[in-house]
Amino acid sequence: MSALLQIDRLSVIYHINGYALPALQEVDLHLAAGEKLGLVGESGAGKTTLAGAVMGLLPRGATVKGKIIFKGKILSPAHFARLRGREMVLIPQNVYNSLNPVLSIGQQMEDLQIEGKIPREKRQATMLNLLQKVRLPRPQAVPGSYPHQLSGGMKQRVLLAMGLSRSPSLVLADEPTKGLDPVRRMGILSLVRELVDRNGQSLVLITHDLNAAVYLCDTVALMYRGQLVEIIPASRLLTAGLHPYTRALLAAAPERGLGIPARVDGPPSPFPLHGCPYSPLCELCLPACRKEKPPLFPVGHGHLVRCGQIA
Amino acid sequence: MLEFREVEMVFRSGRSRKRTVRALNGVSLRLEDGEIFGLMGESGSGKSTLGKLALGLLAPTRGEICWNETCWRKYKPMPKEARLAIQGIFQNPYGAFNPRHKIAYALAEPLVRHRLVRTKEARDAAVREMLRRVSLGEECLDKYPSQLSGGQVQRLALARILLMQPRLIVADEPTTMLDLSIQAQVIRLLQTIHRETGTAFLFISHDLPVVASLARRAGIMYGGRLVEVGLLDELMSRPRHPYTHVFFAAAAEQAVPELQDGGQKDGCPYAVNCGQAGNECLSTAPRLQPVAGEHYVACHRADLCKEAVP
Repeated sequence: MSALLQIDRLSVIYHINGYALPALQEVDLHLAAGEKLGLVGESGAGKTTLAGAVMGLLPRGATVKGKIIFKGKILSPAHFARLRGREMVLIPQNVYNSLNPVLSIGQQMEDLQIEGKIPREKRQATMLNLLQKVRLPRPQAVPGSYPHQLSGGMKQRVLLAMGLSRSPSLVLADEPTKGLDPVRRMGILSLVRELVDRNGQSLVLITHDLNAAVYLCDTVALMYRGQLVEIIPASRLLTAGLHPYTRALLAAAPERGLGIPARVDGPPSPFPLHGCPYSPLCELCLPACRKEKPPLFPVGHGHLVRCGQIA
Repeated sequence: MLEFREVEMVFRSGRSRKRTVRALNGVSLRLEDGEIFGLMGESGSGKSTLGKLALGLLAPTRGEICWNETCWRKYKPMPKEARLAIQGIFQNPYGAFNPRHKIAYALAEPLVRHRLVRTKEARDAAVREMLRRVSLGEECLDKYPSQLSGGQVQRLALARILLMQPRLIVADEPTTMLDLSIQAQVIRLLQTIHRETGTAFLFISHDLPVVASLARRAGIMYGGRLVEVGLLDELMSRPRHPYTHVFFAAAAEQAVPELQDGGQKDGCPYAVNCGQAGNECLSTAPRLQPVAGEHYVACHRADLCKEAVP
């Protein structure tokens, strides 16, 4: 499979109150056409920043270094406006703030198809078709309603329909199942899988939910404090995760024993560290880990680990 | 202990208060002394409403709620004794603290308000002791909530209600906003508190693994009704209500049918989604009936659901 998206040594630095806070540090990632990648990590790991960098949606003032290559072209700020919404879409995490409250759903969805001089009837038919595809109950009633009249789950589906309306080749979904009950969560997961698979689209799923990533994705990339620590085929994550952070995350799940990692309390310091980002918490830490960042080391087919114990 | 008797909760909205939402429809439930009861179900099924009723934050439209045989209902407020004995923690820990008050003040406030301590020394000692219980250092006292992490603030929220020495804690999704490793810490802490103080919990969540790590007994809610109650192991291995089947299957990442909104008043709320529904399901709502031991199910067709047929 050819690479749809290639990320080369991507670093993002935010400048806040005169401090330089690295949010991403030299991330290398490769996404094939039709591949589904799960981006897993805790708050502050840089998952959303990575999605923002790919979409060109980082806040002004963020320093971006490195290359993002999409369909063989290095992306520059001039490209994003043309690609966003057409070739790549981001389905945002916060469904409540992502729709315009004073426009009806129909108006917002039609705006997406404004170019190309499509006749009104055809636009409306496309819209209805999309709303049916995301399995909204009574899709005819949706275009006339305003965001506040829909439930969170319905808004999520509207956003999904809007995201998929231009058949993008890359879909980034930021925590699409956060806060949903099990039945609705499964509904969204199976819906995303079905739609993405049907059109052969690539997916980046940003999530805290390890089980959702295993269900939906081919590959899972684990992030910790702005760095990729492990890339592993999704089917092997639960059994063969190698990085100490991966293991700690797996062990902390209630169904796998509620293991409490030897963790420094409080928000992790955002300041740069020498060496491995996990070294202050790692039980297997070697002296070398504190000095130099270990490389992402291949340990099996499609399985890479950044750990001084393994490299 | 706490008992809900045929509780009904109707919310009114709209210009002339004519739009109604029946959040709870005839819920009866009895919590035993010192147990952890897990309350699960879909969003909007009435779980949080039931929790708020237990805390006295809402008054039921019909029915009554009793704490050690002292009851309150619509125009009869919750007795103070019950208000002190039942305390709550919620999903967003930052929402539980005044952002302009330091932690030291926030923790001491209920002690002072309810005159539970006589001297400053006793107050400070109680606060310090409680900080130790939730494994936080005294340096927290001089900070504002925004300077602490979500996990720390959630533990402080827990510390503050523990100062009231509650007999029942209503925990409404207390770990949903937390990262996995912090969630593990908070669950461990809840387990310890339960073991050491014997406080009962009404633990509301739709996260099955979290509930399973704490609760012995659990209830499943759907459409404002309690559809199944029993030992959690029993519910998981032998679910009798069709919604319970679907709920546990979805929690295990198995494909499940999409559920339609029932929205009807009289019949079984699940009837529109149920493959087995008959005429009586559309006309009358089933009541909780015992099936075996502590296991109760509200389904006219529970006999058909003996085998694993969703």
